[in-house]
Amino acid sequence: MAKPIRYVMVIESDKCVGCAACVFACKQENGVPEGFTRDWIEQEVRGVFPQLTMENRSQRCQHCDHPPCVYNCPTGASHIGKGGVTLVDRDWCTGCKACIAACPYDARYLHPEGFVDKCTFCNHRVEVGLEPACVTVCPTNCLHFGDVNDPNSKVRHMVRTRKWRTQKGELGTKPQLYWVESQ
Amino acid sequence: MKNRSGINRRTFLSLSTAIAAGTVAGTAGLTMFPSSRQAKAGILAPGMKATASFCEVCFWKCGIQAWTNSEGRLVQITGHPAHPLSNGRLCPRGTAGMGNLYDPDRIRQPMLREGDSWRAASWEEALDFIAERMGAIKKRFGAESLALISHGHGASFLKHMMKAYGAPVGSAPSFAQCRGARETAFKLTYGEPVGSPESTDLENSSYLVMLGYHLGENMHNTQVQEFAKAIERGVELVVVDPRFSVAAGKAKHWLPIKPGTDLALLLAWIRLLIDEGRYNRDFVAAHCIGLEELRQAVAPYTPEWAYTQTGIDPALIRSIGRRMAMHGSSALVHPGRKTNWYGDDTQRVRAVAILNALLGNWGTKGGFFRGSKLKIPKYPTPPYPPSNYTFIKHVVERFPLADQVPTQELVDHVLEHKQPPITGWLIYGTDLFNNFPNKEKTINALKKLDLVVVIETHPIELTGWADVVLPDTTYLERYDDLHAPSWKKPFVALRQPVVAPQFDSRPAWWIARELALRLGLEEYFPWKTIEEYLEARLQPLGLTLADMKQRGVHVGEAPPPYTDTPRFKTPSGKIELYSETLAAKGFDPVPVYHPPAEPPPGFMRLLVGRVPVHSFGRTTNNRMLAEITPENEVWLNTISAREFGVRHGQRVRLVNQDGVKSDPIKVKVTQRIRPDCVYMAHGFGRKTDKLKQANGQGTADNDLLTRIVEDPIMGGTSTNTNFVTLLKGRNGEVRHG
Amino acid sequence: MNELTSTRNNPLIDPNLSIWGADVALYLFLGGLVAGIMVLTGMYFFLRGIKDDTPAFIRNAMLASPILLSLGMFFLFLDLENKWNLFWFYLSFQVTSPMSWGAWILIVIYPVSIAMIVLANRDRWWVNWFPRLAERVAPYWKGIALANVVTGALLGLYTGILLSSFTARPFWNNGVLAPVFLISGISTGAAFMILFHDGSDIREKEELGLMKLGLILSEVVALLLFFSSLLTSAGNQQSSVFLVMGGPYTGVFWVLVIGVGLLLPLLLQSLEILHRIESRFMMPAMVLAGGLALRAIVVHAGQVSQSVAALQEVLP
Repeated sequence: MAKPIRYVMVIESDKCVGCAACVFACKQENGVPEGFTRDWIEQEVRGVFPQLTMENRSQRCQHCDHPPCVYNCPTGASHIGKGGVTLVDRDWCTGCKACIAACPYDARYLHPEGFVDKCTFCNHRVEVGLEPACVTVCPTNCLHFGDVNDPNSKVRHMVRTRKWRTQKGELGTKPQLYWVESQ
Repeated sequence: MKNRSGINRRTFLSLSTAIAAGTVAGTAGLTMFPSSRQAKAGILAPGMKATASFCEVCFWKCGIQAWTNSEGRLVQITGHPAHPLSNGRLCPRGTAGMGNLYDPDRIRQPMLREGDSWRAASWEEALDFIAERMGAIKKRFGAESLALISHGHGASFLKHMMKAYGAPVGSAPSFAQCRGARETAFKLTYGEPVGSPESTDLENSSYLVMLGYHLGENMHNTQVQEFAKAIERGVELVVVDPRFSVAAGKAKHWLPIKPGTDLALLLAWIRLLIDEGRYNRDFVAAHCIGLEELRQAVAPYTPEWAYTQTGIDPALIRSIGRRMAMHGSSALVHPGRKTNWYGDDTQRVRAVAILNALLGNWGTKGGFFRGSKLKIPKYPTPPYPPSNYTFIKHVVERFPLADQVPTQELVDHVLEHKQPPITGWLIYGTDLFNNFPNKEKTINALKKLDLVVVIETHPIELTGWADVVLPDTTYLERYDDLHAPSWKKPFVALRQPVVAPQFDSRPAWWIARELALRLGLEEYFPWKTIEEYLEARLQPLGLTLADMKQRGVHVGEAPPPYTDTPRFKTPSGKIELYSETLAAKGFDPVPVYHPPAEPPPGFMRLLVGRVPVHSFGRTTNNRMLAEITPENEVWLNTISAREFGVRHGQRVRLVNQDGVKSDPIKVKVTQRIRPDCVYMAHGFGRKTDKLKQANGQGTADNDLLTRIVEDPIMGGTSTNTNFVTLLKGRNGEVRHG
Repeated sequence: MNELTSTRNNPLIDPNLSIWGADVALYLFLGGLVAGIMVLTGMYFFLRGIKDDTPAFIRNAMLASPILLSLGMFFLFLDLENKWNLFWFYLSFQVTSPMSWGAWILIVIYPVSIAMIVLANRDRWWVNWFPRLAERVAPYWKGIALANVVTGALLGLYTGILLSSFTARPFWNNGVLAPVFLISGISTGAAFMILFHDGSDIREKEELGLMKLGLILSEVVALLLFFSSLLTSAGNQQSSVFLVMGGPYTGVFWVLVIGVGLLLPLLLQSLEILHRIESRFMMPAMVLAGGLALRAIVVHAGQVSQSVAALQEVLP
């Protein structure tokens, strides 16, 4: 019995240099308004000179399996679409912002036209066999996208063979961005 | 040199952006994206069309696909999948290239200085004026009196025109203010420069040492791609940098070296490899000369000694040296790119070249590859007229091994009234005030010239000192010459217009041709249109312009870029570990270490570098990129911050050892830098209200570079030889803002 | 040392969440107030029956409740970014969304409270203007009173449930927020009703006084439980307490919510019960102010709470 499609991203953060090409590619592909962003770069440095470590992360909506944003939406505008992708139906959104408050990753933003917006895993591209814009542009090739339930997919192989971690897993959201090392 | 009558003593005149004469192609406002309740479909939206070209936000020239929507507006840029420098991927600057294209602050039409004001002029009038001047200069002083200062791919036609005119004096700051030290050092050692794109096989390196080379903040697309592949393959990475850069963040070993002491470390490694017999014996025996002289010269440089200079643990120096040697021909000590740091830079990169030779990685997988390029014959034109080119004598006298003109030499030449006189500068795409230090000197030189023509896209401060300002097109609005560099695979790429020129801007090929026609040089520009020119150049390759317009790039076949039998164009025909050429000119034939100057008490060394979303001053007015990084910050170690009593995010002013003050700049309090230095990104601190985004954002490091050490070998100007402290008020507290 | 930089700078999200402000705080206050009025008046009728003539202060409070609620809903409407889509709230019911519950509760409140108003004013001319309305409603008085208590309680609780469900905002994320809101609402409802009491009926006044005292004490207990719940939860919740214990909301919280809203009324009420002073206006006004301040602080502090840890690292 084939499992349904489940889109995830696997991110090799040790390759990421934090250049933000993904940010601009996403803005252009998805018409994100000036001053707003669907994805962003986090750079985290820990330690005390000279013993320091660094991680660069390309962040976006985690498209959780248990998305608190969807649970809290009063009209069903926030819903789960094909492949487990969390989406917002702009015509049903009232702009009550409960989903923004619910998101532990602060991945959503209020679009100037009054609805709530966020990463859609470029589902309009995925539908025709392309990858999300951020994945396509990334110069370090650290972003990987695919169907984790497809036995032949790259992402499936990566989550099965590498140590991965997710963010804020203790909150029970079951996020679908998997962070791995490249080696 | 006295100014010609009719032109008043040149003063700064802020370029007024007059009302556009030409069509304004939908440049209203900055809302790049039409609002819609439906999700925008990106490249899949109906009416989207991709035009292949290559980028020029920086100078790497990656292949791009520029997407225009159904209204013809450029709305998306992606990496060209078939171009060997982009491989379908693109850096943030290239992605946001339309921010430069649609910048409302761009120069809109030719401007002529008239006394104390600017006057908009037609192209005819402006070009007539320049041609008349050029003719007059040639008659009175000779063509050599005019110099072309340029940067960028579009300059090729202007260079051709200038040579046809008889003026071979040209200069690009990319020599003395960027790669010059490296290329000179490698030519002395291997007989050829490293080149651009660099012939470094990063992707296959198994042991990679980078000195200050901040890949990841330096976003040369292909190199970052290869760097990431190397990390994936498990490269052992060593980063030597006073700052914990992004590259350092990925390193197995980050050596927070005392700034200015890199040569000590390199000499210690060289000595170690020789002393312990770990150098690549076969390779050195077959291809190098001067090993014995080298051995003697580096004898004092033990790891323990290096520790006293660099602060790096001698055991670590040893273990890294040994592992480097173990990897041998697939180990790479990266030669860097912008190498003009302290004034002894040719010698420092010589040490890098020598170390690599001991590893035996010339022509090897993981080392320096042997690229190939497509041979494309030049468009046939008559030979250039002979020229005295006596100017170069001055350069050679001062800098015996410079093979290009250090740009600051042109400034000194004008100021000191040297012969032959240089009375005019044509400046193309070069932000002189930001390129090299001592802006005041450059201004004084500009004041003395008879003719200053600035060809630019944006009203940078320099334009205020010109006689004529010509609005250049961006790379997205024009054809240019073919690009066929040496690379792992040979290729040729086409640049073609994606949109019509904004305002009344025109490309350099057209400007060059129009000037040539007016100067009676039409035989050097026999083609009527640029398409004709390109078609003719492509024809020997069996390609047509129509085909190239559609494909964007043609990739040739080549064997793997490695060789067992490298050749060296040195005087000896071998790799010169010991350089007779240097000895003959009175320089150290093997690098000798000299400790750097110490800062005065309370001062820290000023270091400069990049941020990934900008290409120095070229993009600081690009509002799309400025959304992420509108200004620079000065990195200050946490301990230093505590001593100064400043907090993260506060604004301070820096003051250097000569009392020169900077503009206010935000402080980044961080563990990521040594307490004895500070760091900021170059290219900010614009001081013209005509660049509405960039004006007053952050501060210009260039203002603080008043103490310069010139590299005696090739004339490079140092950027890391100034010390700064935080400006304090009368109460002894740091002034904020 | 942890240095975390982000390129994200979305309005209302960064540097900390600020999506809900005065509109929401006012609605929460008004909603809590109406909830309190409905619970108290509903209980009054449920226990006392509808035979006696309803005292004026109760009738007036009940009349005020749909007006206050409408005012509150107006503020809520102002908070919506896509106001035209308001009606979508009523074309679906999302069982996992407390906001959806709230949308429907708010609708249900109107007939329920109006029925109560009819019952309490069945001798007034403007009720008898609708023929036989009072007769039809009267037999169901017990059910209507109960319905008022239940819907009032739901109104008072659901906003607390809504906020406490956001694991992303540690200051809100504990089980006691909903009871705190309800008790605060009942307390403000009582204060509101006392404002309308003319003090003529001494026994009534004393009963009210004791009830008010009990409510204030209940609120104190509820807040203690709120803080102990946070302080015994995970690190994020513990850190979030810093916001009112040393952080930016400390002053307003202790002065307005605890001092003006609880301790001073407690003192005044006790003194009044002991017949030492008269406080017809001051004490209820303080309680109402404290209730509004509580809502405002909860709304703002909760949105800051995720980054409280960062706040503590950056502050000297």
